[in-house]
Amino acid sequence: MNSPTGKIVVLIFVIATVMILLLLGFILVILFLYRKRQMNFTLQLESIKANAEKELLKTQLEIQEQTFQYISRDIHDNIGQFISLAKLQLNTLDFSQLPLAQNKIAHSADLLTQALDDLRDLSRSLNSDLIRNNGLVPAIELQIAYLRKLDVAEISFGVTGDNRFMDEQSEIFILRIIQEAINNIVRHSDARKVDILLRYEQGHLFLSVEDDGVGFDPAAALNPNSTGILNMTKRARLIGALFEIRSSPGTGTTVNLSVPY
Amino acid sequence: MVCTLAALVVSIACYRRHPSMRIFPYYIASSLLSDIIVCVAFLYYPGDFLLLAITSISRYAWVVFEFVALNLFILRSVGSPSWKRIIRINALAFFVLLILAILTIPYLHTHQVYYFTLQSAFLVPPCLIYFYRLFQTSNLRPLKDQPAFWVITGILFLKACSIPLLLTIYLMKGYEETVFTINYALYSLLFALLIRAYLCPPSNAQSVTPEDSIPVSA
Repeated sequence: MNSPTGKIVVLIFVIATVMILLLLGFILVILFLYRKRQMNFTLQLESIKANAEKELLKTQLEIQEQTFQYISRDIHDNIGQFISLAKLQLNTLDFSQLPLAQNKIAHSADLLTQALDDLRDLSRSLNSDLIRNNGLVPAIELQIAYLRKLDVAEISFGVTGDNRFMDEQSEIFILRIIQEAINNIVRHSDARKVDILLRYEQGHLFLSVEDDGVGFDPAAALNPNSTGILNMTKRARLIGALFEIRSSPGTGTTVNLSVPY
Repeated sequence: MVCTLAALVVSIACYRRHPSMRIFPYYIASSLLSDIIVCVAFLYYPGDFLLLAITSISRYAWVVFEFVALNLFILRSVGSPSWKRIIRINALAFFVLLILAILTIPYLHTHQVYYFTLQSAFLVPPCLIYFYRLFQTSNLRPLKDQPAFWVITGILFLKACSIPLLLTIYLMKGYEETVFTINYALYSLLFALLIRAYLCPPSNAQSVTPEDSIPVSA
């Protein structure tokens, strides 16, 4: 071992051992630091996931609340009014003047029929059985039939591409968005022409609702009181769809929705 | 030699397991071939002019091939486009300097070890970039199951230790063989880590980079 060769062997052995120990040390340190970082990252991910679930639940509850408000408003403004008027007519019946009484009874019957129709329409619009049993297109056609009955505007509806059944939840939400868009047209737009287009394309469904009404400023409409647009936005987000409103005062409004399959 | 052969066998057996490591069977085979040529030349035909020329050319070729193979692997393992650009610039700088050195410094023709030193110096920064990016992003896959970690650790260790060794080789009169032995030991460590990399479970993703994950702020 005292010979030069022996010394060289010892030297090589020592250097090799030191190198291996250094390498092992380096690997252990990197693995430890990385694992610590990974654990922090996992905790962050879990926190983000929990927050996202909370937001989702909150959005669903808000949508539910708005639906209840919509029902309440419709019952109060339309159905309630018709029934109240019918009741007033019947309370003021004077059987001593038979022809007048007959008129009032007939008018009351008309009002009650109107109330019943509205109630039936409201029930049908909220009931998702039509979509469940027939699909999205018949449900949209029903909405359009309702709109035509109001004689508000000239409505056209077109479907292109191969019809595809999507998951029920998405179709219900798409219908609710269309209903909201139609409600806005009826209440605010003064439109004379409404075009609804449904396009089944590769990978996604594209919906467009366009009117030639008075238009509005979308940015100004995005306030907490403007629940309709917020409602549509939230519903679109829930089904992973891209939602867009294009409008400006005097140029009409286009609502676009792109839903992935 | 044993480690090299073992690494070659494992790399061929696990060729399909890790698509990102498909360059390594060729790398290991080239290393083996280069060593065999040098060994045969110096042991059995010392002083033969033709063999000297062949070994000289094989050394030049090996310097370039090793750099390209290892650099490509590191480039693939770092996903960020801006850092990839830096690695490419680093590679370009290496080739420019190498060509300049061959053409302008005659001293190096008889001291080819310095080409390896130059190559090592230009392989260390990409390895450091990889480790820097490793801690810039977060990946749910455990580090010990990422082949790139093992391979690049081996490359960094080999090249970082080679630089001082090869720079001082001509100062250590009589100890040149010792230095080369240590250098071969470093290569053995690299091949051992290559074997470890091949034993990692296959990934479902096409590439296994730290970038296949969410970047988080440091």
